Amino acid sequence: LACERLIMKRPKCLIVDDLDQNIIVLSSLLKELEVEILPAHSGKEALELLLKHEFALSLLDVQMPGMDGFELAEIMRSTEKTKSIPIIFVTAGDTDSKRIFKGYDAGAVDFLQKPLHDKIVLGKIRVFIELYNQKKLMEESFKTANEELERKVQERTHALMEANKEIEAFSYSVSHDLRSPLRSMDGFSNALLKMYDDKLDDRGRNYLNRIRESAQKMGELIDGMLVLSRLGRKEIKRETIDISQLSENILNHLKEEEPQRQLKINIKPTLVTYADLILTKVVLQNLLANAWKYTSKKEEALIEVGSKLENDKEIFYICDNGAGFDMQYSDKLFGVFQRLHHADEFPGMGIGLATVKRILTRHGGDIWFEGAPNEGATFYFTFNH
Amino acid sequence: VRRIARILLIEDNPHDVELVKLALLDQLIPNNLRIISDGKDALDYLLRQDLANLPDLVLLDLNLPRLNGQEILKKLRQEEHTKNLPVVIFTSSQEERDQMESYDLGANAYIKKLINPDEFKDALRNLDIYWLVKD
Repeated sequence: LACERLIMKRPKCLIVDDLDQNIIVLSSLLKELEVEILPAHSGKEALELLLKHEFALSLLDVQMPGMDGFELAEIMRSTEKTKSIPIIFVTAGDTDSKRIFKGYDAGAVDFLQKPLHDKIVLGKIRVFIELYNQKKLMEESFKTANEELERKVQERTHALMEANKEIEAFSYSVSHDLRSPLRSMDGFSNALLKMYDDKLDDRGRNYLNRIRESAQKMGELIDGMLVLSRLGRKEIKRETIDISQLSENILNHLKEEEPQRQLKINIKPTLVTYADLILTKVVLQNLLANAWKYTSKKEEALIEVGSKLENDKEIFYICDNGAGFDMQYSDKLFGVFQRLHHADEFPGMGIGLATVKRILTRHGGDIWFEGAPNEGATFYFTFNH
Repeated sequence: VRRIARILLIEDNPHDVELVKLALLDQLIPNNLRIISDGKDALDYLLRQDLANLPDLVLLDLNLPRLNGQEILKKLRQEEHTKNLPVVIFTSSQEERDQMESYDLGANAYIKKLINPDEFKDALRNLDIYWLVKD
């Protein structure tokens, strides 16, 4: 296709000569080449044409009244639009005149001596025209490749946006459609317990309560999955965050829920980061709730929030002296629905740390840990940017 | 003796219809419950009623056949005789944008269908106080 376009649009050749007769001779010589000839009778006329057209080649008569061929060439070489047009000087045989032209090393300059020999003229011009055609062809294919690339990028972007929309629609329908049967399970079990209480024995009530608990648990799992999937798409808006204050608020809240628990809390003051507030709350909430949960069986429970410097970088940590975990299974810690303790020992969905990891990764940060069974756990984390 | 609340429940899920009935029973709200399971039918029904025959309260699901809850609400608010009709959105959607949109369209209240029926009963008790006990 690119070739067809080139053939249809013949390359243009500029012939500058003050004598009409010379132009006619050259023009007739070039008839057998696929070129369009544009004649000019003076440097001034030539410059006008050069402004208007794109030329494959120019043939300049050196000796012209007013602006001569060399002067014209100087101007051509100093103008962006025309500086790479190949120039063939037509000289009267004075070989010394070659040196006068200073733009020689700008390339693509040749000479033809009068009297002109048909074969030499045609041969030289043909070389330049072929070069021009090749250059055009390359430009064309480069442009096509670029357009192709651009199109592919747009295609991918579009596909990605579509996929995101699909995930969103999917989550919406999951949240809607999966909850519905659970509502029936819990609702009707509840109705049985209330309305048919006199017909149920303890075992029957127990079974119905188990159905209710399971339905509610599954509801929580669905919520957890939805939170996790939304986190992947939420835009991160960074601001300065007081980690110490946030941690204190969260721990106070946990204390309110279980006021009977005795534990020592140690929060290093003025811990500050630059991150998304909502997501940072989720991170701290999860890590502190874990620390709270896993220290529930300790008599002298301790939770510590602090930071340390490593290679000039501040690394936050949340440390507890609770149940800890065996580092052997630690690769499971951040997996979705993975847990290292029995559900009846420490309740949970196994989704919190997966969420935390996702949030920190999205911030360009990271999380890692140290722990041993019954010796507590320490979670280190960073919010890079 | 309190008067009987005329409630229109626009809901296509028969389980949810049954659960609403149970919750009304549980909360001892004397009611005359009409159920319409199709969005278009429900809107046509409401637009046909004269002022005196409109229900005291409409419980409106969002996800409905033919016309969805938002479309119904929008139409109701455009009509002179239904524009002040108490409409409570009753939906399993947990999306904040659905809630915002419903209030923007003129919903009087918004109840999320949660898995635990006790929470719906609490919400229903509040509805009873705000919208049904007028005398």
